Amino acid sequence: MKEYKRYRFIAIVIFIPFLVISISCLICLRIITVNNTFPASTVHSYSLGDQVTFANSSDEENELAGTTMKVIESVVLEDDELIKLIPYYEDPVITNKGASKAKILIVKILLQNDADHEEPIPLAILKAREYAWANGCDFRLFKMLNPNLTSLKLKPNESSEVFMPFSAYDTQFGFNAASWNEFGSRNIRLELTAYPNETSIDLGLPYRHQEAQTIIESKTL
Amino acid sequence: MNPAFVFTLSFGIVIAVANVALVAAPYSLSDNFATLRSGLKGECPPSFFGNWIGATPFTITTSIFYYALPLIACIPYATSLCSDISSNFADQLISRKGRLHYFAAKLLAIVLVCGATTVIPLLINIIAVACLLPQIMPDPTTFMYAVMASTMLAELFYAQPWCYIALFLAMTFIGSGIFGLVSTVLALYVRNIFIVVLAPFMLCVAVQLATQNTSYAGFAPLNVLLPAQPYPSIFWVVTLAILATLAILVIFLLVKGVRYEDI
Repeated sequence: MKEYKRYRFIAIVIFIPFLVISISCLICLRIITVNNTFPASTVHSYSLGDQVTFANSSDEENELAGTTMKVIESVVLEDDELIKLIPYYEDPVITNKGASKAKILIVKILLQNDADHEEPIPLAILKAREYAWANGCDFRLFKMLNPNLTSLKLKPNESSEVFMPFSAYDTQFGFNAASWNEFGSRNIRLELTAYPNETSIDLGLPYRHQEAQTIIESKTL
Repeated sequence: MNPAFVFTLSFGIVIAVANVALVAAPYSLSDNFATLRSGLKGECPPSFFGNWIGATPFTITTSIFYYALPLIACIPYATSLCSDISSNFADQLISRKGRLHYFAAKLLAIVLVCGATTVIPLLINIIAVACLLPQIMPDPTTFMYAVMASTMLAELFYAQPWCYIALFLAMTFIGSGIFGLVSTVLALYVRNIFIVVLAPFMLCVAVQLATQNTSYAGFAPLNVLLPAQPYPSIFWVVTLAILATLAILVIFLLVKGVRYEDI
C-alpha cells in the first residue's frame, strides 16, 4: 500500500509538470504559427511632395497600380472658418447636435494616372489619422470643395488636383481635450493602406488659423 | 477547494470560451471570412487585439461577463469573514495570530480570490484567441476596433496594445477585489448572504442606469472595467476613484478588525 502511494506520488509529481509544460509548448507553437502566417505590416512612410503609388503589393488584381498621388499642402480649419470659404456650408453632425464643434483637415492632392487606360480616383482608400483618431473623406464637403470635378475617373496620362476634406468633431475626443485642442499638430498622417503594407504620408504641420485665413483669401485653396 | 469558487470560475470560463467560439473562431476558421483573412483587396485581417472578450463590447458573451462581474467576484469568498465570525472560527484564529494579522490576511485573501475568479477566465480567453488570430497591430483607419479617440488611454492601445490589456486586467483584478470588500463590509451588518452577495451587483446596475445617456456613463463601474470603453472616461479620475475606494474599504475593515469585540 505504502509502495503504491509512493509510486502514485511520483507519477503525479512527474505527470502534472509534464502535462503543463506540454500544453504550454503547444500553445506557444500555435501562437507562433498564427503570427508567422500574418507578419507585422511593412511601414512605408512618405512626406509632403513625395510621389506615392496606390498599388498594394499583396493585391495582384490591383486596379490602381498606375495611379500616383502627391500631397501638396494641407490646412486645418474650424467650422466657422470654413463658412468663410463656403458660405452655404452646414455640417449635418453639428446641425443634428451630434457635436458642437468641428475641425476640418483639407488636403490638397495631385493625382496622376500613368497607365494607358482610364482609372478611378481612389477617394475611399484615403483616411486621415492622428494617433487614435481616424476618419475617411467627407464626401458631402468634397463636392463643395471640388465643384469643377465632373468625373471621378482619370484618363490616361491625365492629372487632377483635388481637395480631400476629413472632418473631426469634439465628441470624437470625449474628455481628451488636449488631443482635440492640438488636433492637426500631433503627427497627422494620410493613410493609403494598413495591411500588409502600412503606407502613409506625413502631413507635417498643416496650416491653421491666420495662415489658413491667408490661404482662403488668396484662393490658393 | 471551495465549491462556490469552482462554480463561479467555471461559469466565467464557459462565458470566455463561448466568446471565442462566437467571435474569434469564425474569423479564424470559417470560409465566410476567407477573403478578410487573406488580407487581399486592401482588407486588414482580423486581429487578436480587436476580438478578445474585452474588445468586443457589443457581443452577448462580453455583455454577460462584464455585467455578471460583481457576482462572479463576490460569490466565491466575499461572505467568508461573515461565516468565520458566525461559526466562531475567527475567534480561534485571532487567539493564535492576533486581530490585525487575522483581518489583514482575510482582506488580502478576499481581494486575491475575487480578483482571480474574474481574471482567470479573461486570461483563458486571451490565450485561446491568441491561438486563433494574429497579433496584428491595431490601426484606427481600419475601423475594426472599438477603441476610439475618446476612449480612456486610446493612444496607449494603438501604440502598446499589450500594455493597455495588462492595465485593464489589473483594473479588473482590483475592481473585483473592491466588490468583494464591499460585500464583506455589508456582511458585518447584514446577516442575509443573498443580499450581501447581490449588493455590489445591484449597486453597479443602479449606477449604470443612473448615468446612462449622460456624459458620465463612462464612469459607471461596469463601463470602467470594460477595456473596449464604449463610453469615454478620464484615466486619472478612474485610478483615483479605484485607489480611494480600496483604501477606504481596507482601512474601515482593519479598524473594525482591531475593535473586533464590537462586531
